[in-house]
This record gives sequence, structure tokens and C-alpha cells, in this order.
Amino acid sequence: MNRIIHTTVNGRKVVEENVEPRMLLVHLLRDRLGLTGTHVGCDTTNCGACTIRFNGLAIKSCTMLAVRSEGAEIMTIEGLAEDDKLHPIQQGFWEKHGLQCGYCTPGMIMSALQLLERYPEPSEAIVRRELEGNLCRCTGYQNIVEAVLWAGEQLKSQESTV
Amino acid sequence: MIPREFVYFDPDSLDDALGLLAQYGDDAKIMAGGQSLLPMMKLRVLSPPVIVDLWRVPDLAYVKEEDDVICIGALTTHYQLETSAVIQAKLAPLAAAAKVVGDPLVRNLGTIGGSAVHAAHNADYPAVLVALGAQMVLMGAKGKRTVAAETFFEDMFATVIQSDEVLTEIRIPAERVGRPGVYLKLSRRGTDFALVGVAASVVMAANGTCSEASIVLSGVGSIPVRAAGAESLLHGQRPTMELIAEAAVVAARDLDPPADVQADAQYRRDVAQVFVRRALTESCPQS
Amino acid sequence: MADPLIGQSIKRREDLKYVTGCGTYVDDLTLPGMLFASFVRSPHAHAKVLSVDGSRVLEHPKGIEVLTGRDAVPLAGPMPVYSYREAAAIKKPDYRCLAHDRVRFVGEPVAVVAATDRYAAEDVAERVRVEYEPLDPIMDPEQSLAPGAQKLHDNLDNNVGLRIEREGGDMAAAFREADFVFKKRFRMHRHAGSPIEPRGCVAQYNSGTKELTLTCSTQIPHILKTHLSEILDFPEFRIRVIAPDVGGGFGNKLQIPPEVVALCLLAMKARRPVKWIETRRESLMAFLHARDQIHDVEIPMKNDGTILGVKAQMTVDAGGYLDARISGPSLGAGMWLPGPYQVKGYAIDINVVMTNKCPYGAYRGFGSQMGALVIERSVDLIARQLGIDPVAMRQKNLIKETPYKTVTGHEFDSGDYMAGLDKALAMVDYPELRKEQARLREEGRYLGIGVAMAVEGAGWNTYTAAMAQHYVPTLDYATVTMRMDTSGNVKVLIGDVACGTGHATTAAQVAADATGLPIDTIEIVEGDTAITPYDSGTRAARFSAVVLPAVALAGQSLKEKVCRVGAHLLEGAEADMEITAGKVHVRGTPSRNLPVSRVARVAYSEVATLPRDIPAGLEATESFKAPVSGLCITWPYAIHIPVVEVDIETGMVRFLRYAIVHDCGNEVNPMIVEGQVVGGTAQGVGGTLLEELVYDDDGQLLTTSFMDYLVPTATDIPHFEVCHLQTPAPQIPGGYKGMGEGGCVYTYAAVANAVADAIEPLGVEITSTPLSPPRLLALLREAKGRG
Repeated sequence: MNRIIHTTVNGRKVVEENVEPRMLLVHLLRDRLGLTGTHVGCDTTNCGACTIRFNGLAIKSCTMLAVRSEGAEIMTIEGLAEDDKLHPIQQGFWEKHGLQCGYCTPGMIMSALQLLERYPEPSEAIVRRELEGNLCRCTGYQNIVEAVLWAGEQLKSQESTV
Repeated sequence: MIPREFVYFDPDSLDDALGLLAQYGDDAKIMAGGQSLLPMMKLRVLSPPVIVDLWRVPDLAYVKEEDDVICIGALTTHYQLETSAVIQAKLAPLAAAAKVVGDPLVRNLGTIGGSAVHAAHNADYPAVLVALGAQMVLMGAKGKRTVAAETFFEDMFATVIQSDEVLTEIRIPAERVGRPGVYLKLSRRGTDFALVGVAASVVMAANGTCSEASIVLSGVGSIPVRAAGAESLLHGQRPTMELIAEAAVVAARDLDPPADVQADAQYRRDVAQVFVRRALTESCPQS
Repeated sequence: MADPLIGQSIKRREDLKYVTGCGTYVDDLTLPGMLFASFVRSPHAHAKVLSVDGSRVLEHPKGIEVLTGRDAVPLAGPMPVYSYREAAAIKKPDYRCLAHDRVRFVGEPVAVVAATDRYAAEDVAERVRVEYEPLDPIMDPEQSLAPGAQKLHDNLDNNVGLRIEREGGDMAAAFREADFVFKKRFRMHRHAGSPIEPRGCVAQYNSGTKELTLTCSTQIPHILKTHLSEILDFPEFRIRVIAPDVGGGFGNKLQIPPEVVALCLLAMKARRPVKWIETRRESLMAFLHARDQIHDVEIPMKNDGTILGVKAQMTVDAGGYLDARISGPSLGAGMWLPGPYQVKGYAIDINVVMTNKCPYGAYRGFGSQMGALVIERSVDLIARQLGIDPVAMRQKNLIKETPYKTVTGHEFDSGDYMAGLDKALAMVDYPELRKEQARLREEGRYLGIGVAMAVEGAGWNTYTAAMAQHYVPTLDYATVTMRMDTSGNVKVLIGDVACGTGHATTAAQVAADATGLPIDTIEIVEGDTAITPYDSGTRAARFSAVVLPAVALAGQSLKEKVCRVGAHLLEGAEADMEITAGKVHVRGTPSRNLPVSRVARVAYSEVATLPRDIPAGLEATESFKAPVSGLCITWPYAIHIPVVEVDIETGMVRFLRYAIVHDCGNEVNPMIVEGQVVGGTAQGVGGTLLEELVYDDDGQLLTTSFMDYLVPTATDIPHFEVCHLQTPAPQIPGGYKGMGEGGCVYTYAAVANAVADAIEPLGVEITSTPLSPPRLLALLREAKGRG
């Protein structure tokens, strides 16, 4: 039986009717809520293009039923910048040429957000390991690693000035 | 890639979940973290008519100690295990395995219970659970029973669990807690499923001999494979490099590993020997 | 003059949308009444299609339309094939958008359905019943060539889909002078580009205007339009193709996808827009495969290490049908065989062979990596045989001066290959590395140093006279329009498509320098055939060498027009006008100036005040025709030196270093260039070590997801050290050479040489890829068995 889902997405309350139980969360976000920054690149939970933040955790939204988002706090790439101020990770990807075609980028950024929370001063090896759930075909990851390390520095200096 | 239609229940108590399982029998499939089940449903290789999703069932995600027994709730995620101070301090092989299941995103949702019940032959936990002598607590409409991990796994993707049962807890017996041990695995890419995984734990007596060894492999059989021959070879002996190498040979000798697109059987057998040796070497610093 | 922007690593102007999730890829497009399509695909590698019954589709409440192969036959002609000189003779396999009588690979589409949403589309597709009569598949190209093999296409004489022979220089002399002939078989395995965004398309048909609009993830909107016009017998000027943001192309999206043809038919039938988004499973089964080739080479040699020539019998496993571009990677591999070396002759004989696999097509490098693998591996093997250092053997044979006319009919334009090699050797401290290798060997550790180099063609050209009967795009020209609006801002209209390649930045840098306008007043528009000039698309690394010069020409032309109006308004001579920082002024007298916005206002709205001979508006269109030498336009080159350690107990390969020296002429934006070099190399690393498309003997593809098709993760890829040399391209204004394919060309050879260098002393010989751990261990085991 289809359901009504109450959830919070990027700080806004969302009530979505007529949600099939089999609907994947990524399709609720993309097709119902128009949040097309979250992408789909595989069928098998490998590529991470669909990575979002779900109750504080980075998850693959193609591998969660939308009905499970009842009562959840969700953040997608669209909710990361504050007004027009980019998050340091977004800025880092831009500064360091951490993207080419941009398709994996939102997932990569949402994954990096968790990475820097868990490892505020990561080594290159940690960055690479923690991004294992996100595939990029363009960059060879090198500048993604640079971008995340750069963002880590920024976040650290932001913290020290607060 | 979208699952076929199914009837969905997300009960908020274990009793209700058990009631649904009793009602729907083989038609029902339990969803825990969903990280293995959903991909299979999306590929339509698996299309259960009824899904009983446990996400609302409270109190199934925990790590606690009861009289030196470590109790792990079935819905404890890989990330929770990986970062649990208790697991890190007292169950080294399990902590090591939790770090290399899937990827960091999958580890946020995937659960130890889900992985155990899914029973993939190349998953990481089953071998570790067998090596740790884990007890699997199963709840059913008719009551509770406890099964040793050693007998829990029956075949690739098959366990002793009945269609009206839920795995609720995994218990690591007191005598296994705090032992040193490792879990090593080889994947061709990242932390993919294991081509070969080895959970090893060696207890040394005061005289420098091995008083107990536990060596269990993943990826090399349809279920976790205990290297019993190697274990008994080490028992009561000083674990020298030579003995460890011999134990590795013994461990790999009788394996009949599966072949797939990632590696042939011979490769798995060869690498099993190497990894048993490396795991034992790491477990026995004095070697 | 302000400081030029060309040569500066400015941040990419397109990135804001990508980092905020505001990119618009094809799946982000939703139209009123839009349907979703799902393809019904063959589960058999080879079978007769006895019947296709779609009647149950319409019984589903959300099932709207169904189209079968038989329905499509009268509506759509065959898929195109290009084939260079041999075009006139070619008998084409019957390749249709949907199979109608016989299926020839697992995943071949036989029908397509449309439903009201993507969920229902997959449900509805399962309701189509197809009856097959399975036939024996042919999975081995050599078996396919054997006498008496069953024919996969009745209209062909045998299973050779295409035969290409080429010869140059004096091969007979090369053999005559040889002290010995090195003979070896090399094989590269089947893999694919696998962009993270799979294929996808939205087709719309307006029955009132008779217009067909396609929004499609493609690298070639204009070419796709031309081909669709031919295939559908539909007026080209009523077809509009829009490439939105494209989530990776890598040459794969040069395909004219049969699925897109079927989607057009479906949209016309349904009279509603239809979207198709490929799943990864479909993509791995039915998007183009690549690389799969066998070369039997003969290299006549002198005892002193002089390479005299290269001869190869080549087998290309084309799969069930010939993709339009099949001859490119075939010929490319063959023509790259002489490498960067001075040889007397070359001769290649290529059989492009039909098998029951997915069709074979373009993928970054276009065959050149196979040529590089074969020659660079051969050099190492021969050097070992002769007991000389592989680097010394390269130095002996390298082309020493440019321009250099090759036996393959090319003219390598510029560069110092020897200096490049020296630079790369210095980066890794080659002599010291060799000592380190010897030291580690004593500890039982197997370090390997791989050196590989090549001169790569960028900006391929495909036109030859014999092709006149077919439509074939030529890549050697580009047309660019620049249009200034009434506020003085400029749109640059280019018929290409950026697919991660940074066009919106590099083209704007060139346009800003050419016009003297601030870069912030310039926007690049690409990918829409309705508003951009005809263009052969983003391919063959032609953007820098062909499109950017056209941008510069259009910019100069627009600047002249602005200056002309400015001269009138400032009452100066046109020849004395200059534009700096958005102001028109008299050269040398910056104070006598007008903002360009004022000039634009006059040119559009105060036309009556202008002299009669100054036309209204400010717009310029210019074409650049590049000089072509042989197959290509410019000749970048690179040297790769990976240093690896092989775990001989597991066959795992670990990178310790990876040094790259490359030279693509003048660089417009070094940051973007480096991104391309690194990304291409990483893709090559994946291809060499991890990725493989594997079929079983029954023709089932065993690698149908990213669980089994191992696209590398961040931990599988090393850090790359890149050194840029910049030898200007002498024939190209600006001195740019193409470079986007680069990294991928060299990696296979370099990594194979490194792995071989590590373990060949153990008696192993590396002549094929992938270098997967099980394969390496099997080779080591065999070598041990031989003792």
C-alpha cells in the first residue's frame, strides 16, 4: 500500500503522498522533489553518485527505500551551501579542479563531508580509503584528494578563528 | 533497475515482526540494512512478495558486555562495530573485519546480522564469527534458540534460520573475548568482497607454545572453512616460521574453492596459503 | 594589453553548477506527459527471433506503447559504418536499431516499451514475450575466421566484417637487412569506458511542426542529427539534438546508439516525449566495448638493437555488428605500431571479425594504446634478449628531429622526444632506481620500472575520396560564431560538447584574449544543434587544435567589427582601434575610449547613426581549417615511467611512483591539461590491471555490474607526477596540440613494462593484458613449473 512520507530535506519539511514502498529514496529526491543534483550511476551500490546525508550519515540513496525516510533529516548537495556561500568542500573541489564531468561530484562532496567530520586532519591515504564508495571516471582521484585536503585545512582554520 | 512490487511492513516491535513472519512464511523476507538485499531486488534476481523491514524495531543495535560475554545486536552497523571501543579492545578480528566490509557508505547502513543471515561465501563476518565461536540468537514465534556460528552457515546464501525466525543477537563467549587475532583479506579492488579472507587467533601459553589456534577462511568454500588441520598442527607447538608455513600449506591443501570471474580456484587456494601464513605470522609476534 | 589569459590555470568557470548540484544531465529533464522507455534485450548470444509478442504491454494500466524489431524495419534504415578507403567494397552486416530476425549478442535490443513512469516501464518490459531459437554462438574471433565456421551475417562472404591492409616505407628492405626477426603474439583484453553517467536520451516529436527534438548524452550532437536524418529518412533541418551536461564520454558517446533510433520511433508513435536512461547492466552489456585485439607481429632487427620495421597480422573482435567507427581503433592500433622510432617500413593486415559479443567502438585512445603496448613491450623484450638496457635501445631508435615523415604517412610536427625521455628518467632518477631494484631483489622484493613512450595523433581526420557515397564527418575544421548582445556581452557558439573537458573555460580564455573583452562578459554555449554551427563533435582530442583556433579567428573578427563601430564613434581610424578590458580606445591613447557596451548599444539600436557600409549588429562567424598530415592534425607525445612492486605471492601490483612527461604544445589552461593527463592515465591503470569484460563459452557476459566490472576506486590509483613540456604546434595558430586522450595511450605499455620488469627475471613473459593477480600468479606458476 502506498504511503504518505513526512521528512525533512535540506531543512524544509516535506510531505509526499502516494509513495510506493518499492520507491528508492533517490527517486523520491529526484523525481518527486526535483533535487536532481543527486545522481544515479550504477545498479549495485558501487558508484556512490547518489550519496546523500541521512540522519547525519553519508549513505547511498539508491539503496534505501523512500518509506524509510519517514521522520528523517536529509541533506542533499543542494542543501550544503549556505545561501550563496559555498561549503569549504565545494570550494575545494572548485579550487583544486576536483571534478571534470561533474556527475560523481555531488556524491563525492557529500561523502567528503562525512570524511572530514570523522577525520578532521586526514592523510592522503585516509582520504582515498574513505572515498572508496564513490567512483570517479574522469579525474583519476588525484585532484579530489587535493580538494578534500584543502577543505580540511579551511575547516580547521575556520574553527580556530571561531 | 527497480525492484518488483512487494507488500511492505515495517513493524515497530520484534513481536509484530515475528507475527508477520509466521503469517507470511517463505513469502516474507526480512530487510535489515538492505545493502545486499536491495541491490539483488533492483536487479530482479530476488523478488520477495513481502518485505518485513526491521528499521523501526527498537533496541537491536548495541554492543554490550554481560558477564564477560560480548553481545552484539543484530542491527548493529558495520560502522558502529568498527568504532565500538569494546570491539576494538576485545575482539580484534571483528574490529578488523568491520573496517573492510563494503565501503564507508555501505558500512553506515549495513548490519552484522544482515550480513550473517545473507551468508555470502565471500563476506567477511561469517569467517570471523566462526573463528570467535559466536553464538547466534534466533527468535521465533515459538521461542528463542541459540545456534553456534559453526553450524549456523549451511551453504552459500543459506543458514539454519527458519522462515519464521529473526537473528536478534550475536554473542561472543567470554573465553574468546580479549584474545589477540587478526582478519586479513585480499580483494582485487578497494575493499570488495574477499577473494580470500582469513580470521586467525592464536593463544600462547606461558612456555611459548600455542595453547589454542583458531583459523577460519572466507571466500574459499560455500561457507566459512575452518582450517582444522592447521589448528591442530600448531597446538602445543612453538609457532616458528617453519611451523607456520607448514600450517599454511595444510590449511590450503584440502580447500576446494569456488571459481568466478574475479579469480580461478587455483588462485584462491594459492593465496589462501599465503594469507594463512601472513595471518598467523601477524598473530604470533614471537614467530 | 592586459596580461593574456591563455596559459593561465584559471579556475573552471563551469564548476559552480556542478559543485552545487545544479548541473543538468539528461535524466534531470522532465517534460509534460513524458513516458519512460525500457528495452527488452536478448538473453541469448546467438538466436533466431521467432516471435515477439507485445500485446500484454497495453493490458498494463501504465503500459502505453511497444515497438518490436519487425515494427521498426520499415521505419528505420541500417546503422551507419565508416570504413576509410575500403568503404566502397564493404558489405555491411545488417545492423538495425532493434533486432528483427536474429540476435547476435547478449543484451541486443529486440523491443522497446513505453510506460508512464520508470518503475512501470521495467514492469511492462517483462510482459513482452519473445520466442527464440538458440543458435551456437561464436565467442572466439579466431574460431570465427576458421574455414567452415557458421556465418553470423548471411550477406557477408564470411565472418570478416572488414579487412584493412596498409603498407608504408620499404618493408622488404627491412626484412632483407635484418640480422633476426622478433616474432610475438600480443593481446589486449576487452573492456570499456564506462562513464559514470550511462547513456540516456529524451525524444520528442511535434506532429504539428514535424520536428524531432532529442536531448541526448552524446559527444556529437550535429553528427547524430545527420545520421538520424539518414537512418529515419527524416529532414535534417527538422531534427534538433541537444547535448545537455554530459557525465563523461571518453569516446564511447561518439556512438550512434541503436536505442536512440528506436526511441525516436517510439516518440513518433506515442506522440508523447519518451525518456530512456540506461541502467549500468545495460551499459555493460550493450554500450560499446573496446580494446579487444590480437596482434601477431614481426619486427626485423639488427643485432645492435636497430629496429628496421614492424609487420603485423591483426585481429579485431568486432562483436555482433560493426559500429560506425570500428575501423578507427583497428587502423589506429596498426598505424601506431612503429611508435616514436625511425623504421624503414611497416605493413599491417587487419581482420575485423564478427563474433557474438557486444559491438566494439571508440574509447579514449582509439586503438593507439594497443599499438603502443605492442611496440613498447617488444622493445623491452628485444632489449632483454640482446642484453641491453631498454632505455638505451629506445634512445638508439628514437626519432631525433622533427618534423619527421613516418612510414605510416604522417608528419610528426614538433617535439624533442629524446629530451622528453631524459626528463622523465631524471624525474625518477633512473640509475639510482635500478640500484634500488637490485638491492630489493636480494630481499626477495620485486620492483619494476616501466618506460613507455609514444607520439600520439590528436585530431583525427577520416575523410578519403572513396567515402563520398557515405556520410562521414571530417574533423579537420571547426566553425565558431560569436554574438555580442546589446549590453556588450558575448556568447560563443560552438557545436562541440564538453563532457568534463573544460571547454567553457579554455574557449573563454582564448575568446577573451582574441577580443580584448573581460572573460566575465563571455559565455560559451555548446551542444545544441539549433543554435551552434555544424561541428564534428568532441572527439579525437581535436578541441585545442581545431576548435580553439576557430574561436580565436571568430574573436578577432568580432573585435574588428566592434572596432569599426568604435572608430566611427570615437572619430578615429579603424586600424588604430584597440579593445582593452572592455573598452574600445585609440591605440596608445587609452583616455580616448568608449565602453564596449556603448558600442553594442549603437550597433543594435542606433543603427541609423552608423555609416551605410557598417552593418547592424555585432556577430562574427569564422571557420578554421586545420592542416592534416596523414591521419591526424597534431602530434603530442609523452613518456610514462611507473615504478611498481609486484607481490609474487598474490600477483597484486602496487605503485610506488608514476612519473609522466608530456608535451601537447602550448597549453591554454595547464590545470585542465594536467587533469586530463592524470584522468586518462588513471583510466589506463584501471584498464591494464582491473577492468575486464568477460564472456563465458555460451556467450553470457559475466561482468554485468560494477561489482564484477572493476572500475578503480581511489585506493587503486596512485599519485601521478606530471611534468609539462610545451613545444608549440607549428601548423596551428596558438601552437596548441590536442591532448585529451593522452594519458590513456601510454599506460598499458608503461604498466605492462613495469610489471614485466619486476617479474620477467623469474621466467615470466608478459604479452597480454589484463595484468590481473590471478593471471600474474598463473604466469609465475607456469614459469616455476618450467624451472
